[in-house]
Amino acid sequence: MDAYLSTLHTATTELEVTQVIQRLLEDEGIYHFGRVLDSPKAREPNVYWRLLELFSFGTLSEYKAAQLPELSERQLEKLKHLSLVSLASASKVLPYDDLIRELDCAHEQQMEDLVIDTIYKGLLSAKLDQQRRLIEVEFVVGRDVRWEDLQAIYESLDQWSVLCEKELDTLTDGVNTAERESVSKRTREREFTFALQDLRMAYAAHASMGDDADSLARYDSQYTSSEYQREERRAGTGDM
Amino acid sequence: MTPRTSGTVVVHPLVLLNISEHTTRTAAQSKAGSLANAPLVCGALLGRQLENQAEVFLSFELKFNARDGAGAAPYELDDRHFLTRTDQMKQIFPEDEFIGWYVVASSTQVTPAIAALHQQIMRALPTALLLVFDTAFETSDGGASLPLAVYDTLPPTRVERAKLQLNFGADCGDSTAAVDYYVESTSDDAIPLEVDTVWASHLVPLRIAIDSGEAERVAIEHVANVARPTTMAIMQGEETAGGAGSSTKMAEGQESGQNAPVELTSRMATFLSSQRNAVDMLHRDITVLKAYVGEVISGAAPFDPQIMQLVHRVLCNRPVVQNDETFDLAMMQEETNFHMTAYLANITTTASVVRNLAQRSNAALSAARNKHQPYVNVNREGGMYDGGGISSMFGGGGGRQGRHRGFGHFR
Repeated sequence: MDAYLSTLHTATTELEVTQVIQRLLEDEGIYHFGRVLDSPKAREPNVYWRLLELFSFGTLSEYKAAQLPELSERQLEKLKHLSLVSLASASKVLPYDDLIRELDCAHEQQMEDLVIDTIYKGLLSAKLDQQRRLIEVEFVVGRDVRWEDLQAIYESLDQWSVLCEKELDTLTDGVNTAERESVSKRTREREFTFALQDLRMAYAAHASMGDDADSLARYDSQYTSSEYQREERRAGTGDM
Repeated sequence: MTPRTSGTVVVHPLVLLNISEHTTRTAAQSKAGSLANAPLVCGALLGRQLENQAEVFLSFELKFNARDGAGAAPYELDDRHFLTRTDQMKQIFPEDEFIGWYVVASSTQVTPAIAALHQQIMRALPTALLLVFDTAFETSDGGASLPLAVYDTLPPTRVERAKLQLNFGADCGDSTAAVDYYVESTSDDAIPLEVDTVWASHLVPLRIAIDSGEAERVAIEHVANVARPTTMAIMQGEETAGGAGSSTKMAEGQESGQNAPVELTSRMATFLSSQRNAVDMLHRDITVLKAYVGEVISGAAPFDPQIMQLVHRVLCNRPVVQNDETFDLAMMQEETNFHMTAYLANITTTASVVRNLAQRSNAALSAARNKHQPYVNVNREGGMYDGGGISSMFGGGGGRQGRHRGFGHFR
């Protein structure tokens, strides 16, 4: 990219500039031309600058609609890749039919090959679902950003940030509720234990005063479970 | 205070945490309970030193042996311990090296005792940093700045002996620009000088900056927010334990019940708070991006296509799925599974609770059978218990037998 930028600076005639742009468009590795477009030479009335802008921000359909110079095979393919990137940036699930239409492919096989090429180039990471005829996008390199898009980006970030704040509030509320509940539960248990103790002591005091026949204190039972103890008592008194 | 050099030292909060923990621990362990009688609290600082800026990442404790004798140098650095620890640290953190040491005192001035210790440290590292941690919090102006002072050791120069006399007491209120600290360097092959001058290194105070890595930030926040109630409980527990032992268990229970603040022991709360921390970090990053984009729009920052492209990429890659049948179906299934498991657990616990209740009420009521009417017959048709099967399972057996028993006696 730096090499191209330096050649661009030294280029004087329109033809040279055109050639540089042509080479830039042919280059297999470069898909983002933002830095080149930023250079002051982009203001020149060279139609190839419009072409470069299209490669940076536009799609295949726009190219077909506009009057622009012919593209070589590789350049056309690059443009198709970039159009796919645009579509993938917009939605996470891409139906086959839409892709076939947008990317100007004759049949499904061609379109799938195109997608696989893009994946290998690292512009996209996705899963092809042939049964449902979808592409599920996992990761996509975005297109270049125009000055006009900045406001939209800012608003997206703003919305996202607001959502995060709301989520944070919800989580904080959840934390506080959980803590409160746990504390109140613990206090309740503690109070219950104390009340039980009180009752036990009061009852023990009362029971020691009179020898009640219906005292529950049977410590000589061979069973620890209250059920078995009850059965034992019943069995004992039933034999009478 | 305007430091005279442009040097800065970046301190990580982990270091401060370690130092305060060391201090608290020593204070708690020493029976005196006050720092005046506690043994010397000091340790080594590890980090990196670039030309103008030092960065302190870690710290560990150092052992000083009390040495009888001269009043000015009561402690001596334990070399063996120091070397062992430094080697161990080097193995774990190969990039960090020993760049200084810290000491805890009641102000940020350099006392003669500290200077004597610094001399010993200087033998190991001539340009050691000295961090003085102020526990009395007097030098901090209204609590805005940290109770720290970091001094850098410059190479030794000729200094009049008079300047070595660090005078205190007179200007302890304003320990800032007036006092220069000099530490005499102890080198054997010192060039002989005139009388009244010695080789001494100037201790220059540095500007302090705080920085933290992401993982560090999460840990610090955890200690500060999540674990704070627990530490408060510990401190309050210490206070109540200091008093005489409570008389009855009830009094103790009530006391601790009132004293216990919100302890974050609920697992749900811990889980949720870790989620909250994660979302918090995300939110912070988003804010940074938003601020940057805002500045680019308003013109305060230059429009760099590369960076903007990356920001755009972040927005494009957010995992959002809408209107996808398969996803909705899978999501529903997972949700239903979780709900069912939770529901099943609830039903089981409720069933056992009800069973316990029935058992105990039967036992309690059957004890007074000869005085009261037969206890609640769970088997009665209609009424509240329509589910005949379950209620018979609970108390039916006992109920029926009890009725047959009539009004017998218990032994």
